[in-house]
Amino acid sequence: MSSIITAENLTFRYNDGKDIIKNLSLEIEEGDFVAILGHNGSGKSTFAKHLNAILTPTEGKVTVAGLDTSDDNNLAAIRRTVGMVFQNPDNQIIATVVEEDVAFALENLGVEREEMLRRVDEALDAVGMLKYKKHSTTQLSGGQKQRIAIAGVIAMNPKIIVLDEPTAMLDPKGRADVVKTVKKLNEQGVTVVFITHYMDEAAQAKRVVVIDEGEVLIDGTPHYVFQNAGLLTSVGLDVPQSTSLMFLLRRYGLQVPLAVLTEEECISVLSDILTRKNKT
Amino acid sequence: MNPILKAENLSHVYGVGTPFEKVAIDNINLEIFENEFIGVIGRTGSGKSTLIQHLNGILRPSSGTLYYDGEDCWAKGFSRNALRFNVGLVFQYPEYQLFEETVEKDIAFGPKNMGLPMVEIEKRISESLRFVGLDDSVRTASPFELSGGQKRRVAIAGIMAMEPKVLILDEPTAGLDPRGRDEILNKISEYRAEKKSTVILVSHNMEDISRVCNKVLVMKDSKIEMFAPVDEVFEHSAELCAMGLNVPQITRIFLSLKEKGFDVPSSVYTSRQACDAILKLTGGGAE
Repeated sequence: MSSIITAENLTFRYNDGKDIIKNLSLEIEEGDFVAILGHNGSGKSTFAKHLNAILTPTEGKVTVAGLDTSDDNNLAAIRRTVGMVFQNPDNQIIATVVEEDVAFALENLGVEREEMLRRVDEALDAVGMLKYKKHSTTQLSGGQKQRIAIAGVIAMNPKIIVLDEPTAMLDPKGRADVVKTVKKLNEQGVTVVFITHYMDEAAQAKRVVVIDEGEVLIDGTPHYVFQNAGLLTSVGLDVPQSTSLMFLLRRYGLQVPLAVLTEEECISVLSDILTRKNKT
Repeated sequence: MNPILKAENLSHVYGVGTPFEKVAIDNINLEIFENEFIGVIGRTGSGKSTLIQHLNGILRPSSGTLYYDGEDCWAKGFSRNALRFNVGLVFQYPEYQLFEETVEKDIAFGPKNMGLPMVEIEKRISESLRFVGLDDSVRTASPFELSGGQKRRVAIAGIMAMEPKVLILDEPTAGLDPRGRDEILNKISEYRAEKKSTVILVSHNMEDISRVCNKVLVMKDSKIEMFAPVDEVFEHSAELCAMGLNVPQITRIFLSLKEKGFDVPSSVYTSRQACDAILKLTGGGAE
């Protein structure tokens, strides 16, 4: 696997302000699903905006699919390679009919009509919204709007999708639907960068990068990252309840694994403890 | 003791006579008392927002009666203006409603409309900033220079400055990070303790509700499904799950353990309670 995104000594500041990102280096492999965690103001969204050249480095270098984001000549190619989805579903819907909204970027790119229709259908199918094709965009729920926004992005066949807190404004059902959609796209080979402060969502990624004060605080598999409950709490983040339960149990001398992220894992650990007890 | 708010057979139908006619709340009976801290939970479309918009007279019931302090809120001669001062409503994403040039002017908007003297308004601005944990130095800042979390606090302060007897907040922690969420919830709890006001908190997050509220109101299909103290509602966690509500992860885990035949309690909703339950079953720990 090769790196599709590289940030080398990336520093970013607005005109006279302080460094929002400080000398950050990070590589992301093609096909990976990376969750970026951090509290509000940690610099995680600023980092995301570097991935499709909405922002460019003050110092250092960012490349996506080999394209240097600081080179203006690469801009169109970068925007085709990296699709962005933002937080507020209402700010991302342009058209009044679902299929027209998904077709918006393709029309701008001058894609042939037949090809366009096919890609719109495929994209809507991929996000599970095909039957809403002819619906009005105003009648959709927040979660449905986000999936339409994702469809609009994947209709362009990007290699990478960057989602900046796509679930922050959604209800639990909408959140689950969006995460499920993103996981499916990743399984189909799209590289995903998923910015969130929901721990349960980050736990579903393949890799978790925690950013604090513009620097990488910790980076690894969800299990590795969530073992550091104390560190995460100290920067204003949480761990899943199952993980904090394991910490408490260990304090009372029970032998349990450090990081237990999913319900299934936790159920099996607790079943073991309770069964062992019944046998003795 | 008389309830501060009481709904009697309250119903609301949207779009009567159109193809989009929808019963949003259906025959609601409810009594809310002074200084209660009530969490309202329910799926999107269950009628939560419609219900709370009746409580300060934004919506007029299609049928039924709402009483504030024993008075019919839609009777002739009842001042709904006064009702809106007494029942303060903080909408979802209230930061989008900030409009004044400075933070202090924005907060003063409500108190000014109440006709309070300038000295009192000044006092309330300082006090409400303290309640939401903002420094007096932001008074002269433009609300638009502030961070998202700070803006939300200013918007909440604007309602607190009216010192409503009942404070209603619709998803006050939506979109905040864990620390921001804890801070806002703590500030609201402190406000309630100091002002002895009633607080109604609408949230999708049952962990938040379980942490700060005394009672939970569960809405389902336009009706009240449950209205009871937090522990009692969590006794029914299997039903809450079946309703598609977002019950805490640890509650779901304990439900599964119970299904597997382990004798665990079903009303567990914090990791602390879970730990105690496990220790009890295994005969205690070594600490």
